[in-house]
Amino acid sequence: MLDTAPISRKSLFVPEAARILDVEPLTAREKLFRVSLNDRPLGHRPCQFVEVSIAGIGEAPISVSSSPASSEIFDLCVRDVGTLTQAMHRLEPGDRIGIRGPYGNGFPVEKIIGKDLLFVCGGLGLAPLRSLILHCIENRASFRRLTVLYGAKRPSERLYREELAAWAKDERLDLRETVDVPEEGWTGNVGVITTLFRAVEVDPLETVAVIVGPPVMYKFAVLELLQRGIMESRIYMSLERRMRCGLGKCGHCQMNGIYVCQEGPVFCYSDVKKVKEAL
Amino acid sequence: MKTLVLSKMDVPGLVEALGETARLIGPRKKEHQFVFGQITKPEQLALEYPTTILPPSRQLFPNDEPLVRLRLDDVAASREIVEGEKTILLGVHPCDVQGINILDEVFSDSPPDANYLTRRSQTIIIALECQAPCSPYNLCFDKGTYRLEWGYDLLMIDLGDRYFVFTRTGAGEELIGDLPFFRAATPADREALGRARETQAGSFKTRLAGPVNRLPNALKEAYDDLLWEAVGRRCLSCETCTNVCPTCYCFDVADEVELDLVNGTRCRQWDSCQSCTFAEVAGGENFRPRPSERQRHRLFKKEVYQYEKYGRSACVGCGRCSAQCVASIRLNEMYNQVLGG
Repeated sequence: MLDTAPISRKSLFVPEAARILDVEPLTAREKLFRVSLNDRPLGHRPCQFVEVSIAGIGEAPISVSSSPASSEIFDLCVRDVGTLTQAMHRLEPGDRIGIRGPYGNGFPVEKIIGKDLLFVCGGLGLAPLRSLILHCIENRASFRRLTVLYGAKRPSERLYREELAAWAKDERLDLRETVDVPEEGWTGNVGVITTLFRAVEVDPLETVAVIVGPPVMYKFAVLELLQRGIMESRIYMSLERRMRCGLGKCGHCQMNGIYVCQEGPVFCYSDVKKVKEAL
Repeated sequence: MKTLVLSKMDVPGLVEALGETARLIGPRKKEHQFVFGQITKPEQLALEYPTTILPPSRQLFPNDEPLVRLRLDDVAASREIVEGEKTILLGVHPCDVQGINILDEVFSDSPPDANYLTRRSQTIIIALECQAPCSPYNLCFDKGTYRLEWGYDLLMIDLGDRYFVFTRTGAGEELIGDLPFFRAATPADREALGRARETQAGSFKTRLAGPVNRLPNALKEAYDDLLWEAVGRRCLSCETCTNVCPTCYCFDVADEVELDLVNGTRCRQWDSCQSCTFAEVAGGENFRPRPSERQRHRLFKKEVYQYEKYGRSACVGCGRCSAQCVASIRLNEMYNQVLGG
């Protein structure tokens, strides 16, 4: 017989009940859900994720988009691309969902205190990164310059538009935006996100950069940052994979030998530059 | 450790006795092949079998395993399902015992998996040593898995008209405690055991061009080798190799809804890194879109990633993936290519 320490008989797969308090459409494809667990605050770190479930439909990993400071009510920004997320888009305030988590390592906020922070986010990457940006704004005195570079495909696909407008006026941070394809009324930058780097002044010895975006963005963004003299160990990124179980078992999120759901999703570039399936 | 002897005449009696104390699972004939299944009558047991289609570790990690009882109208009514009953796995070959040991390690790793471990903690393994290789693809001699030192409760070795039996654990000794079928081994039995083991050792031979401890580095050096392209062109991504593997444990979680549309079950289903959608994310990006990349991942997971994490290979050399591959992709040939044979 297997000789183990007393086994915890508690299944890891049972979701906790959570209530949707508010639903706000952000774009044609993304909705923001304000969610509260029944029995406890979520207690997440920036860039962690939860497994959201609807009984009868299934589960999907969703990044937590709100600040860790307010985890009694937390935000999930959801694009309707899969079975679960499409079903979720049909839910309304008062409806209940299942939550497991939070999972993942989250961002090591203690390591970036006193630094200039350069956030590079593309598309839906703003959803997880927002949790970190909000944390930094709330703890503004702990950091030097805060710069946010945000690239969206089209102006109509920009997430959190009201918040972006507020950030643009906020002296505590420097927000720069671009879109790949302009639409009527857009007066801002046009071009891929790397074009924003040109206008940004970077102190290479004091800067920590954080990249979250679509898979294709990372290589180009890293290259740009390295050219600015930022050290490999100060470039962080959140690498999203198919984090099916969140428990380091099911295998879907594996990046070579690394279980992203346990060891990630936040990685330092110096730790993954030789991991062939990472970038 | 006790050394005992069981006459083959007494096997039917033993099967009946064991079947009364627990769910007894053993090798059974299924058309021209063999499977592990429940043994309710002695004549169902086929101890002299080459190998089975699926490994016995799948008894502990069953497909469609229920995890959560769901109420579609009330998520707060979700209830965990953690099942297990006293089970005896009889006639498990050494490579397959090692396969179970490997799953034990994976599912015990933090966070431990209550579903697997609950089932496992109520399972007794009666191993049966092989007398000869079961296919041209076994790597059990190279891997050292044709014999066992641990991981079982009882071990049987065929001596012709009787089995030599080693007890390994208290649970094993307790199981046969008062049963009248076992007697203490005599010097003559020990001599017969020595002869049987000599014959056995002579019938297994090495199939690899180099020592297995070179595999992790040899594979890493071959990461960009054309071998994967060649294998990928033949691979049909049918997932047979991973389904029949004793140590594959990748899974998916899916909800099954009953006809009343109120009750349902969240289940764990076997999944395969060979499936073309395995590493695909919701946005459509696929991190391993090519069969070549997926086959490479399979071998690396066995020989490199688990070696780096646990200090051991996760291939027990059973040969099932090679023997059952419909595209004739042979693990031993791939290993030999990277070992330079």
